[in-house]
Amino acid sequence: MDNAHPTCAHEAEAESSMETAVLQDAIGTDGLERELEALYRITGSLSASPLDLDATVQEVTDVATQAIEAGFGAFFYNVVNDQGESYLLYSLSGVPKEAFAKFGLPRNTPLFHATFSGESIVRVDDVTKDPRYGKMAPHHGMPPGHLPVRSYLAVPVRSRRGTVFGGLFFGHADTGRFTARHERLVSTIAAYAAAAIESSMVFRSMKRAERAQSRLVAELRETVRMNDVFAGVLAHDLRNPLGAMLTSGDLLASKIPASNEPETKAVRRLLSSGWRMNRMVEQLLDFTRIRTQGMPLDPQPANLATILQEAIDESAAGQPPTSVVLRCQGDVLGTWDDDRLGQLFSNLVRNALHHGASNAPVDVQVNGQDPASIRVEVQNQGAVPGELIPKLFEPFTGGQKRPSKNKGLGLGLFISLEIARAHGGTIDLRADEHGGTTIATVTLPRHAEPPAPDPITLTEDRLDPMPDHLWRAEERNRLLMESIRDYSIFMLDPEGRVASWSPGAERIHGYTAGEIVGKPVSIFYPPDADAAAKAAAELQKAMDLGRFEEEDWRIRKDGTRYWASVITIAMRDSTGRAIGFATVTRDLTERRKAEDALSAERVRSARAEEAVRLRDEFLALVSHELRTPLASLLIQLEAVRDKSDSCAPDVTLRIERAARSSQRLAALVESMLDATSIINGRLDLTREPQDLGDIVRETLEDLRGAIERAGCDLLTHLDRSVLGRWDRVRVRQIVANLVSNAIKYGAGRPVEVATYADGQYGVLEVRDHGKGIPEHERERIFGPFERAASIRNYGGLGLGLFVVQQIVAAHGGDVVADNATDGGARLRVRLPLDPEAEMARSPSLPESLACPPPTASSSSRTTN
Amino acid sequence: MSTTHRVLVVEDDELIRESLVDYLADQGYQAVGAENGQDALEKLEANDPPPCLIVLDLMMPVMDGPTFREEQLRNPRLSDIPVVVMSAYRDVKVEAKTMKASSCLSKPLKLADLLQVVRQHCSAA
Repeated sequence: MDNAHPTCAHEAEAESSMETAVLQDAIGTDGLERELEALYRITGSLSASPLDLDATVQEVTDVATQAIEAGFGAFFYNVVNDQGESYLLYSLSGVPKEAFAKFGLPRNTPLFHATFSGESIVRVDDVTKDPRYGKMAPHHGMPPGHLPVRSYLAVPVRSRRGTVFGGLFFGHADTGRFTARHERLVSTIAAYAAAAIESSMVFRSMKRAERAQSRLVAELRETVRMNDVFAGVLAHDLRNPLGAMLTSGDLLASKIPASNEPETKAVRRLLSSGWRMNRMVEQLLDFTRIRTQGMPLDPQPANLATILQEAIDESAAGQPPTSVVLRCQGDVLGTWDDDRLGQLFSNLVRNALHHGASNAPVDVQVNGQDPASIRVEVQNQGAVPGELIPKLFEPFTGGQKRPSKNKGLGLGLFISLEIARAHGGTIDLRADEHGGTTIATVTLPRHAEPPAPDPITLTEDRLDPMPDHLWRAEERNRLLMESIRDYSIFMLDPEGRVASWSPGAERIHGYTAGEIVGKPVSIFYPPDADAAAKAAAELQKAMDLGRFEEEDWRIRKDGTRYWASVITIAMRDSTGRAIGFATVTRDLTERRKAEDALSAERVRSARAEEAVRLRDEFLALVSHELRTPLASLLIQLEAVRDKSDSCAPDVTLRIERAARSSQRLAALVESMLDATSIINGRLDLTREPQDLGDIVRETLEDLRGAIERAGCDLLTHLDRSVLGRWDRVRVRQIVANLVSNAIKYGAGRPVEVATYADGQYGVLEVRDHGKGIPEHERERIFGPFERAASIRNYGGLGLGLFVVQQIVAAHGGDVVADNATDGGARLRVRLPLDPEAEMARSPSLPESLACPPPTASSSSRTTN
Repeated sequence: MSTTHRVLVVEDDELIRESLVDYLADQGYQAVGAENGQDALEKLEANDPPPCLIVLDLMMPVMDGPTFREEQLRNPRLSDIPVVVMSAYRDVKVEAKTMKASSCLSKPLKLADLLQVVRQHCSAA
């Protein structure tokens, strides 16, 4: 036996023999001696090396073989290794391993089936006479050279939950050697073996899960961080062009004389489209944040009267001043997040204005008398259908099937309710169909607390740092081992009263022998269950079946609960008379804790997946939902442009700026939409014969303005006749993304673009002279939402290289990043050549598209 | 003071920068644009006397807003110039606090808000 813990083993041994003595005294029958000894050796084995499965299994086989005086014994068992693969292993006792080495593993013969399926125990006096024996080819019984077996006993080893781990097999050359008593003893031993294997499996799966979890936790932390960065960058990238557009629009408005009505009207519409779109961006960002982190709140001393007035001013901008009536007496002071409350009331007032009858004002009334809580009612004429009300608070419904052009996203009320709830308040929406009004009542505590964190929320600070996490694994394993070592054995008399006690029992249960002997076994049961009846029923089962096992809560002397594995064995003397019960209890609290921890982490990992899904969903949502308002924005802009044909140059300049901003926004939204479909695996190529150099030239022409603005010299070296069957639009996208990256990270320095054939591949190479890409990041940058540079300096969603990589892969090519020897990043795309593409090359590509036409293998230089 | 109407706008987005400079000029301020923190420092070094207010973007290439602010605070000649932080990034409030900025504006800017902040620190020419 492997003594992994010699000191502990020694102690356990001493204790074991003490307990044996205690039990023997109690029972006083010699006939049980061997069986008890067998039991103790098994529990001893568990205690010495609880997680060394091989040693335990060997011990089980040895002990059982000796206890029933079998000729030999074998234990065939399934194990799952650290990689999660299943193996059949075996241990032998009574014969050298070589005696079985040449037979291979037992097959699922009719004889073995009962054991391996866990169906039943097989005990026969002469196996060669058993009807199940000798049914399978080729040997029809024992293969030649097999040890002679007549007496046969096979006991399935299965967990309490019914999982069959394997079987214990015993044989003897003589007939009729195994008795019912042997069968009972072996089945008890089998139960121990099952418990040992189960513990070991929990341990192994924990170790496996631990590794998977630590990877996952790392990924999760990264996801949480990226989600936040992502939302931030998205906000930045969407708001910047939107902001530029609005600023230009504002300036435009200031330049146009008020007398020029059609024009001022067009600009006003343009601005209101812009702000509406901005609100949508805000709402989408809020929505993502709420879904991943809950509503963040920063409560400060504030005056609700001011908050309401500002909210009304904002939401009723452009409406007649009488459209909203605020009834509020004096200051209403408390502790709230003023920005968020402002948002809440803006939403409510905007809704009321939108849905209410236009001839009656929206009424906002504040009841601030109660020192503990505040009530605000927002009332408008016109009743919302009652059955619609619950739906109004769901995201993206807003009472409509889909958000329509001018109705917003249907997120306003959802977000408002989240804000109220985060403050510890609520919103109640009621329709008075009789009076024809709709009233939204907001109830808020006067002083809001920052919201209590959800215990498994996806925020970084609540995830343990890695080393700590690993340390916990170690600690958990230690506890697990100790927990398995913690077992107690005591005896009960036939009436179920404690007849003997032992040091192990004292350690687990807390009672001394003097305190407990003579007490009913129900004392160990939780008082909430009908303890006495339950205990009696279990003893009866043990008496009837020979043994009863369960895992359940037990109570210590100090009243604390622990999760216990209890085996109760009916003891009989040699005449078969019941003399009481032996009870073996193990404290599995730590194992249960470990299992609970595992399931908590499973929840956590599910959340991580959810977070990733949310991000993708969000991207799809933003790009999809913004398309419509963006289209309307572009139309408004067109209208302004049309109306101002004859305008002064500073007006034209501003319109151009607004137009450029809007186009940038449109391009961004399109690229997000594109990335979304690629992430979702929708990338269909339209392959046609193409010349790589032509595509590059054409794309560079489109990018000329951007390249010049970045202050980059463009050096090209484009070989002719690099031919293949590629998707022209997608390859253009590759070129555009790589060159955009190069001028972004290498602004003010030369950018080199080359195409050439290399073996089976057409190569596109883009080099910049920026900082280059550190070696450890060269693979990472091709993942979605990854970026090569700090978020502090560069915007962008980190989708460009991901899209490149996906397109290249779809073409059957590859892309690698490295740094040129003289610094700067070098990205090299390889696309498979198709020599036949030349023959098939369609004449649809006029030479004029390839401009300017440099000669093959020459360098052209574009300078700004 | 002759310097009280000069405003430095540090913003990498060309469209926004030029629009803001134009707008402030319209309102009677002498507005100067800088592309990033580095450019802003150079303009501050070269120009004397200093502006009455710096309008600072946060995310910029070459030198970002927070780094610029650190450099500015380290230079006794420049450290007193008030800074208003503007950003399209979330949590601009928090960032403004940690940067010890006098106030913050979130993008898209409302020009009236900008004007209000500028008026607090500068007088129009």
